[in-house]
Amino acid sequence: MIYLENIFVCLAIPLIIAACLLKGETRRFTVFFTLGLLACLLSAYINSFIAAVVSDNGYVSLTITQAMAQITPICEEIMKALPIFFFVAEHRHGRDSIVAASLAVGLGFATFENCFYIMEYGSSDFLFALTRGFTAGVVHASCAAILGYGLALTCRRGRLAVPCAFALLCATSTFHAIYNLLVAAEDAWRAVGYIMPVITAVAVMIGMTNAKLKIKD
Amino acid sequence: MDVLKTLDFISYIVGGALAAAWGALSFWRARREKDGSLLFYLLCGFYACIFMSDIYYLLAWTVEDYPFLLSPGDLSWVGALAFLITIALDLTDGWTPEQRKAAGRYRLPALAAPAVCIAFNIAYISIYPDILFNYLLYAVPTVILSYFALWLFLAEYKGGALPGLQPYHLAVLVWIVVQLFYDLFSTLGWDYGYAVPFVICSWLLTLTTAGVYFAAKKGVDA
Repeated sequence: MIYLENIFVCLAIPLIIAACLLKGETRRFTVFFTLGLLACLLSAYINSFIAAVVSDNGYVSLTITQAMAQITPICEEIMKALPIFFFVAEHRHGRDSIVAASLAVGLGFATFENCFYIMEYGSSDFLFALTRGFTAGVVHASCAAILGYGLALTCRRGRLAVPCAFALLCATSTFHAIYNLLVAAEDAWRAVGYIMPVITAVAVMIGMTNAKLKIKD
Repeated sequence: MDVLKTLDFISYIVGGALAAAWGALSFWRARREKDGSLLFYLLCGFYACIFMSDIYYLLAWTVEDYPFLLSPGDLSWVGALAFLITIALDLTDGWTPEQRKAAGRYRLPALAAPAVCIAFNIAYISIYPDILFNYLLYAVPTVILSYFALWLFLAEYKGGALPGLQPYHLAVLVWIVVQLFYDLFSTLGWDYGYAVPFVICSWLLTLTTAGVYFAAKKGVDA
């Protein structure tokens, strides 16, 4: 059995100390990275609880694994989005800051999840570690970046931000669900699932580096 | 039955491919816009949601066959509706007090659209109450969007002074109507919904989804 809380404590404490010593954008990045770790820990608890409750609810009968496949993407994306929504609602920072904070949450989440999987399945298999890094890690970072980029477009337009945030959350949850569906399948489908995050990351990078965010406020 | 199922399956493939193409076109157009309008960025999000919804259903049919609790494909469809609501709010955001006053007169007649939507939803839920929660998640944004689409259409059509995006609002209204029939026909007691009216609506939905981009482009260019 792996005690996730212990992994969280040993990863978060140095980051919290670093956040106290740093200033400006670097501190913000460190804080949101730590929040990403926390979001992953909490979503692990919530996923397990909801899957156990709804797996056999009288209407549909699913195994816990099947229920997890449908609930996990939605739950994880909501947990990742909460610190970003708070940041956008409370602080009217520049658009680049929102994208950077979102990316930090996504990276923190991916780091914690990868730590768990490496401990669960062993660290001896280099190919497994490489695949995790390039797939699940990139999915979390890409989803968070897409959410941040979308919120950055509407953050200064008050009432527009709410439906747009909801729409982005739906979009990232589905993207995550498609990835989960593919990697849970076999053979060629799984290969497509492994390639999908890398292609998306490249598209997001091109979109983010070239976009000028020239939207009227 | 197999032919209809295949036709429905193909409509998802065609719909997904078209949504990807219109999404890319919307993004390209958004980058070209000089006045910083959000419209095409949000349309890109709308098409991305439609694309992912189609892909999810296709994969769910092909790869997995267990029942759904809450399909992320449905959630993506809700996201598409939320993007269109955001567009409606964006379009009303820049109005002057005079324009707002002129448009205000059409708020009451615009309630006809949500009334029709609610009637369809009641019919749907009375036939197929098992997925009430899922359907409410989808019905609420449909009702809100239908109100905005009819209100903005009436205000721009009769208000004169407002920007002329009537084709876009009309396209959204048509898209909603086709969706309502699509949902209703999927639950009228046919085996898995694979009946001729359902498949026709499935293809109409694919076409009207594509029409939203052209209508927006026509409105903006005019």
